[in-house]
Amino acid sequence: MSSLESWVKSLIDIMKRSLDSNGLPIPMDKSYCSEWARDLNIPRGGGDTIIYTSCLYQMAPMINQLVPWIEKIRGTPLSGLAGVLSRFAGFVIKPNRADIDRANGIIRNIAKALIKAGINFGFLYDDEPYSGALLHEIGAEDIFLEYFENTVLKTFRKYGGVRRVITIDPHTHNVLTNVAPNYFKLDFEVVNYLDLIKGVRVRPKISGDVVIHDSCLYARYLGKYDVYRSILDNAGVKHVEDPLITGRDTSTCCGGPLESLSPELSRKIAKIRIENLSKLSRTVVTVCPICLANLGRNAEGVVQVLDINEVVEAE
Amino acid sequence: MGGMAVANPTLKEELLKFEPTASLCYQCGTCTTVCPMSEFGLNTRLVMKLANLGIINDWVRKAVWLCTGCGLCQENCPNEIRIPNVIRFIRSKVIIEQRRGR
Ligand code: SF4
Ligand code: SF4
Repeated sequence: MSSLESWVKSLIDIMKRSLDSNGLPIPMDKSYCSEWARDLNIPRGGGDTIIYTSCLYQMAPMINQLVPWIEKIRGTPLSGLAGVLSRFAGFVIKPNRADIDRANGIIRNIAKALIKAGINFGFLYDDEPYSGALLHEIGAEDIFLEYFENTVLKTFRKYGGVRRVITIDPHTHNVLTNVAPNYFKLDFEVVNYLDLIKGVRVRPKISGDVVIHDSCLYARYLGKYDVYRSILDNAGVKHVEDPLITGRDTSTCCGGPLESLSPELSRKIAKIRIENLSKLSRTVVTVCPICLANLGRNAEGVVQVLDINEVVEAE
Repeated sequence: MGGMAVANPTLKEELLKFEPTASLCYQCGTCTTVCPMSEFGLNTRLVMKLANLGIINDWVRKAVWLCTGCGLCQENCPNEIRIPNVIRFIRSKVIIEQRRGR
């Protein structure tokens, strides 16, 4: 087996164990996932519409903390692997306060825009399940399906009346709209927050022009390429475009999906992307938590990377 | 390319159930041209060729993990083949092989 191939095996193992023990694909305390909702008075479950965060904004910056382990496990011969994995079993990610506060701010900005759009929604708080997107994306389809049925669907059913689920990131939205319906009959409608807030009056939170780094999923799988552009237009934020850098059929990946597979390669891809984006503007706007984390940590002062929710807010 | 492999019609059949567009590939190579990972060793056209023969060989087992799922290949493929799905199908087969302790 090549080293990448054997690492995939360990990685799936780690994600499975972690999902079983703490409900997230990485060993992070799940209570961080619902902090953002404190004092917003969002009902638990409640009503027929819920916001579904999958905890991705909080988790994405933390995946980086796994890198030393990835390197350790990859350098270990198969015979020693059990030992490394058992030490890993006790490992818990300690998030940076600043990263969690930032994620909380982004989700609160989304929640406030949804409220401005006149939408009543609940939240499942500690019960909110992770979507399983990482398992699907890596190719562990059978494990993903079992997890999705027994955890995600089961939890939604427990809250009986869920009729509409609002996603706030492309990976969760892709799993719910492009993947799960091929296997299960979902008894709820799935909408993305961008479509719900595109008619809301918004104002800029920053000055100067920006360049959009498209999410591969939003732009090429989910038809949202024009939606977040129109939101920036509504706020009067100028986004510089170049058909070879920001086109629907040309814009390249941030490298994020490779982070847990090959940190070196992921870094290389991010650097190339940043170099291209920096030709258009010093401010890069992302619409996906994984892009935000991966470009942000590789920006090294060349550009500033901001989530769209740090660039516009509901008036 | 490493490793002898023969065409496997059963695997091909399974692939087409998972991703029916796969058989439309006529090996034009556009996917490889636009794939940002080709310079790191991912030859998407070759993956498609082998997939359509139902072949999983050592080269494929290594190459499929390089795909980021960015979708540029499928966006530019003249036949709108859902190539990243084909790659995910191969990954799922390799993962199952591993579990059985190939
Ligand atoms: S671009 Fe499409 S048709 Fe051309 S080689 Fe790739 S998969 Fe086949
Ligand atoms: S989805 Fe995969 S194969 Fe297709 S262009 Fe992107 S990295 Fe290459």
